[in-house]
Amino acid sequence: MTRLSDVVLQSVSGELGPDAAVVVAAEDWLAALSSVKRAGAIFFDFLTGVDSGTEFIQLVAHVATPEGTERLTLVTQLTSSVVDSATGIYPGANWHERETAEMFGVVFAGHPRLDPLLLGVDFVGHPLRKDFALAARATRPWPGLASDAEAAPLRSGGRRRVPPAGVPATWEVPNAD
Amino acid sequence: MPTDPIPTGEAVPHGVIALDPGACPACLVCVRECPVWCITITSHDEPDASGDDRRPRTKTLLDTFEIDFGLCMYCGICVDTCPFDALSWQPLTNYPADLAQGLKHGIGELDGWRQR
Amino acid sequence: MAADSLRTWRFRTTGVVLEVHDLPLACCAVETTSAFASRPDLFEEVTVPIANAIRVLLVSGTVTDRLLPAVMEAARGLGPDVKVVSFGSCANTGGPYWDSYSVTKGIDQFLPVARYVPGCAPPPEALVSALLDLVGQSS
Ligand code: SF4
Ligand code: SF4
Ligand code: SF4
Repeated sequence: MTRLSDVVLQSVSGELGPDAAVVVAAEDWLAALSSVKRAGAIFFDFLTGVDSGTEFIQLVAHVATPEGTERLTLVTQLTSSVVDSATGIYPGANWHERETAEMFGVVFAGHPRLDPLLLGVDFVGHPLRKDFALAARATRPWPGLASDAEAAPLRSGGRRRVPPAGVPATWEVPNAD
Repeated sequence: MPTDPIPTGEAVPHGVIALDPGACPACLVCVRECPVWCITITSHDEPDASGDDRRPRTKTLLDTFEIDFGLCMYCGICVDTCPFDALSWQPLTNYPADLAQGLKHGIGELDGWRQR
Repeated sequence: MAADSLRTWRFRTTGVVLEVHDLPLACCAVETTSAFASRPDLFEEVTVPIANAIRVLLVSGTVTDRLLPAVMEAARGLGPDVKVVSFGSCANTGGPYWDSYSVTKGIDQFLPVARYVPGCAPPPEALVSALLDLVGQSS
């Protein structure tokens, strides 16, 4: 355990997760970040989201002391799609939150300018979420079916809808008419 | 076969993939392993003489085999996974096309690229 | 992006001169650069337009939807007769990123392509072949 994890666990309730990450509740997210910053972790490394299949996204942030002698990963499981922006504590979180917003659909309340960072303004959807269907995979027939007989139920939308490798069964299967 | 303007020798790993159609029983392993879905195969089943009335057998015969080299990422997974060593890397690099469809090559070209 | 800000190469073979504007976008560019460097007999870097040369835009690498307007702008800047060479699977069809949410699935959806060079990445000699081919086509 680093000194930084002690600091967090003294200021908010949380627990030590895998790889010495400190897991805190969503409502303690900003309190946890400001406690580690006060304790000397003024270097903001990154913030991103993780879609682990739960309804809402997990946030992960990594901070360190400027010498790199101490570092800490903070994790929180969101309970809604909105969370307070960390930009008031770490201005460096600005672009990371913009990217997490466009890629995962998380809204960072209080962010100075939550425009898309990498995607075009007309891009629809949040491509790093697991439920984002990749159009190319959903529309191209998988070439790996052994014969037309095997492919027929797939095409006719019959009961045996075999999704191709790498395509979740919930995605639209092509040629289902 | 066109010749390369620069001699490439055997050290070119990402030239082209050739097929020995006689060695390929259309098992579809390569098709299913290809990360970019760029191999397509058609085949049909025929009765096999090794069976009899009580135990009829069929064998699968390859009809068409096509690699879309416009899409191929030259990863070599197909060559590595083919259980019958029907696929091989060949040094040819000179096969540009003036249409995207022109980068799809069937049994004729794939077989012709084999070093015999 | 102004087309004249691209590195430009004169490609000269018997009787024909190409003005090759290099638009290197990803790993494929390592191979095109290597082609320019390894064949000084064919390629010479130039900084002023070559009179009566066939203009070529060499798109090597991954084109994303966000970058596409810049690629189009570069093509427009080279005039209506520009020959576009699509170098590598990414430019040809999206290649390894065929299912990506952000990569353009083939620049030929937006630009007429004169030559498709297969490979990921195509080796330097494939570029030389394609340009020689192009000369055969347009001379
Ligand atoms: S080299 Fe890779 S991408 Fe190309 S056909 Fe083989 S498995 Fe598919
Ligand atoms: S893995 Fe080999 S034998 Fe099987 S279909 Fe492919 S080329 Fe033919
Ligand atoms: S075709 Fe392959 S080598 Fe070329 S840019 Fe795409 S990924 Fe890189």
